[in-house]
Amino acid sequence: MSPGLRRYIVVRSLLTIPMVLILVTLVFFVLRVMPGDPALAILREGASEEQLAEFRATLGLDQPLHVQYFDFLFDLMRGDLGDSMTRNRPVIDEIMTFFPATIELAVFSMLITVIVGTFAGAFAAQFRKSPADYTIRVISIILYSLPIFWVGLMAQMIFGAKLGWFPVSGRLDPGMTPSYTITGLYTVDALLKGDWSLLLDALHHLVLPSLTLGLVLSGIFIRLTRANMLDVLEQDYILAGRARGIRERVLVYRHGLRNAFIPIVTLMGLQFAILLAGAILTETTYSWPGLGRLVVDRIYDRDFSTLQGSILFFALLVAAVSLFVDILYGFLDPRIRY
Amino acid sequence: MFEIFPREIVNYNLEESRMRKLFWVLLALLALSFVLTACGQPTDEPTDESTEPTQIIVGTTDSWSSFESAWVYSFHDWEITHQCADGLLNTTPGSAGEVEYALAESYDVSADGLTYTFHLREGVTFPNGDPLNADAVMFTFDRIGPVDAELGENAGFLFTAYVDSYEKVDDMTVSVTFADVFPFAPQLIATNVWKILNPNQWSTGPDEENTACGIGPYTIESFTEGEELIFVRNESYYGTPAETDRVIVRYFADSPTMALALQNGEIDVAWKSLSPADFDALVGASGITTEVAGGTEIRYIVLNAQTPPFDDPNVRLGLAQLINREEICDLGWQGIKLPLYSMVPPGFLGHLPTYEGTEDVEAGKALLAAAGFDEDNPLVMDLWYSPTHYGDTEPDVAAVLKQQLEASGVVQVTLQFTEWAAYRDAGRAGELPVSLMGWYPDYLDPDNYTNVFAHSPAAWSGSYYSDARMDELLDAQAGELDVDARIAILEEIQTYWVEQTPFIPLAQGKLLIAYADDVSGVVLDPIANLHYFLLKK
Repeated sequence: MSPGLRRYIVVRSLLTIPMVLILVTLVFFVLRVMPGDPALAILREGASEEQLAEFRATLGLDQPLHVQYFDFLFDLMRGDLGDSMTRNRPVIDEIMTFFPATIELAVFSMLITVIVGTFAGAFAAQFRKSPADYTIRVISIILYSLPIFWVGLMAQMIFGAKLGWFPVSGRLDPGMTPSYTITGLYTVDALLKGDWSLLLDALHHLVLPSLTLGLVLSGIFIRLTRANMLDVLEQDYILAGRARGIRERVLVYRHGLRNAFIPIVTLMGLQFAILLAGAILTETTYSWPGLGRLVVDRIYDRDFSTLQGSILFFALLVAAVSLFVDILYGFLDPRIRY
Repeated sequence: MFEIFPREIVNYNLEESRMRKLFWVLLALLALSFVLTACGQPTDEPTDESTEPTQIIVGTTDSWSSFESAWVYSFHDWEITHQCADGLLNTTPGSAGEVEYALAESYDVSADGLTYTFHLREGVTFPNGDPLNADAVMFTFDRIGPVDAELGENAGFLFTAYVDSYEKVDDMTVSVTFADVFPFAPQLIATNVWKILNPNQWSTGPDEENTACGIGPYTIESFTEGEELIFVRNESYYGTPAETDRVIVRYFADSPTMALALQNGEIDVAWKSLSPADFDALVGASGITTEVAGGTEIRYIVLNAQTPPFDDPNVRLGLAQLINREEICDLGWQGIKLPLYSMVPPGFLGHLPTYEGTEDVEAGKALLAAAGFDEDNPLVMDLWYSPTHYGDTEPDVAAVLKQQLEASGVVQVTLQFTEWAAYRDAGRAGELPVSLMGWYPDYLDPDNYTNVFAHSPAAWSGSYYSDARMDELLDAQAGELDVDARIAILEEIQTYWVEQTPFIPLAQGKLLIAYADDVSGVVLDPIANLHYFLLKK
C-alpha cells in the first residue's frame, strides 16, 4: 500500500467521525422533540403517576436533555448502545438478532442489481438505437420509478398465491430453523455445515424478496452502465481491437465492460444506503425478520434506545461501505493516485 | 513485438481476473438458487400418517416481547404462556371468564371471603420431571413483585395489588389472603402472572428469554424472534393431551402477507390480526373457513367530566343519544365491530344493554336544549382521536361520529388528532375534552369494565369523573360474593351509568380468524387467546 493511499484511508476514516457525530446528535434530538412520553407508550394503561415517574427515572428520562445526551455519547464511546426500553436487553443484541437477515437479503439483492444492471446496460450500448436498446431503456425507467412495495405485492400475488412457485413470507419454511448458528446467514451457514436442505429452503425464500429489491434498484445501474459503455466503446483501443478483427462480443463484454465497471463500483457504494432503505420496505412486504422490521416495530413501541442504536448502526454500515468502495476504487483503477 | 493494447491495460486486465472468477461464481450461485428452488417445490405425495408427527402452523402479526410471565402485558405473550403453563385455576375455553381447576384440584374460601386455600394436584410434574408442590407455588408468588418492579411495573399488579399475604400450609397446600373481598378473585388467579413456574428452571430475578414455561399441554421447543415459535406436545401433561404434536407460530409483518400465506398453504391458521379487507377477501375463498366472534375489546368515548359543558350529565347523555352505533360499526369500522350498549360486554356477568333504545335524536336535542344548546347556540366541541393506534379505520369512525352529532343541528364538531404517545399524554393531563379510546380487560370480570373507569378519581383515562353514588355502587359490587346480589348491583350500575354517562360505550371488538378447511378445534372466546392445544387436522 502506497503512503498516499494509506494517508487517504486515515483521512477518509477520520472524516467519518464528525459525520457520525452529527447524525447521532440529530437522531437523539429528533426522537426527543417528538411528542409523546415513552413511559406512557410503554407502560400499561392505568399505570399510576408514581409508576410512570419510576419508569422514567429508571431510563434516565427524568434527567435534563443535555445530561441524557452526554450520557448517551459517553456510553457510545465505550461501545455501549444501551438497553432496549421495551425488551430489557442490550440494543446490540437486538440488532444482532435481526441483522443477518438484512445483510443476506441485501447481498442477494445487490447481486441481482449488478448482474441485471450491467449486462442489460452493456447489451443496450452494444446495440445502440436498436429496438432492444429502446426497450431496455424504457424498462430501466419503469424499474427505477416503481414503488418497491408494489412490486413486492405483485410478485407475491403472481408467483406466490397464483402460481405457487415461491413462498410469500419468511426466511425458511416453518420448522426449518436450524439448531445451530454460525453467521446467522442461513445460506452461508448451510454451506458451511453442508446442510443442503436448509440451503435449498433458504434460497427458495430469498428469490422473491431479492428479485423485488434487486430489480427495482437495477434501473439506475442499467442506465449508468449503458452511458459508460457508450463512452468506452468509442475509445481508441476498442477501435484498434475492431481493426484487428476481434469479435464484437469479446470487445464489449471482455474489454469494454471491464473498464466501464469502475464508476459502477462507486455507484454500488452509494446505492448501498438506498438498498438498506429499500430493504425496510421489502422486509415488511415479505415479513422478512430483518433490521427494517425491527426499526418499524420499535417506532410503534417508542423504544428510543433501540431506534437510536439501529439508526446509528445503519449509518456506520453505510459509512463503512462507502469508505470501502472509495478505497476499492483506488485499487481497481491504477490511474488514480492519492 | 506488436501490441494491440497498452501494457498497463493488459496488466490491469490480469489483475481483474480474480474479480471475473468471483463474478462468475456469484452468478452461478444465483442460477443455482433458481434451479434448486424449482426442484424444491412441495409435493402432494401422501405421507404415512402413522409415523409423521401432526403439525399446525398459526400465523400472527403480533410480536413477542418476553417470556417473563410475572411482567408481560400483551395478548400475544399471554397466548404463548397459555399453551405451556397452567395456573392454579385456568379460564375455561369457550367461556366468558369462567374458571376451572388446573394445578389446584380444589380450593376452600374462608368465612370472611378473604383467604383461599388451594390443594394442589398430586403426582403432577413439570416437563423435566420435577414435581409440582407448594414450594414451586411459593417460588412463583415470591418473584412476581420484585421481577415486575425491576422490569418496570406492568402485569404484576394483578397479583401485588390484590394479595395481602400467602403461605405454604403443607407440601401440597398453599393459602392466599386477599386484601379485600373480591368476587372476581378466581378470574384474577387465572391470569398470566399466576402461572406456576419451576424453581429449578427459573431464576428469582427477571428471566425474559427463558423458554422453560411451566406445566401446560405444550412445551416450547425453539424460538427464533421475528420468525417462529415451535411448541411440542408435553407428554407428561396431567390434563387432556394436546390434539396436535407440534404447533408452529409464524410471525408476519402485516395482515396482507399473512392472508396470502394462508392462501398459498404456508400456514394453516391466520389469527390476530387480520384486517377487515383481508378477512373479507378470504370469506368464501376455496379451501378456507372464516369465523367471527365477539371479543373482549371495547371502544368508547371519554368525556372529561371536569371540563364544561361536559361536567353536566345532561350534556353527556344528550350527546350519547345523538349517536347511532349500528351505523358507526358499519361505516366507520367497516363491520369489524359490534354495537355495544353497555360498558359491560355481552356474555359477562350482569350484562344489561342499558343504552339500547336511548338512541333518540329528539330526546338528545331536548337534553342539550335544557343545558342551553340549540340551533342558534350550538355546542361547539373538539373530538379527538389517534389516527393509527386503533387501526386504519379510526379517522372514518371519527368522521361518522362528527356527521351524526352535527346532523342534529345543535352540535358543531371539529376533528382533532395526534399520534398515540402524545394522545395518551394529553388525555391523562385532562387536555382532551372528548376523545375516542379503547380497552382490553386485565381480567375477565365486569369489575374490569366498570370500576377501573368510573370510580373516582378516574384520572388515568382522562375522564376525572367523580360521583359518590357511583363509587358506592362500584364498591358494593366489588365486595359482593353472592352472585345474584352482585348481578343486581351490576344492573343498577349500568342503569345509573346511562343517567350519568361518564363514558359512552360504542362498540365491542370482533375476533376474526381464517383457517384451512382441514383444521378443526378452533374455539374463539372472550379470552382472545387461541387454544392451540385444541387445534387438529
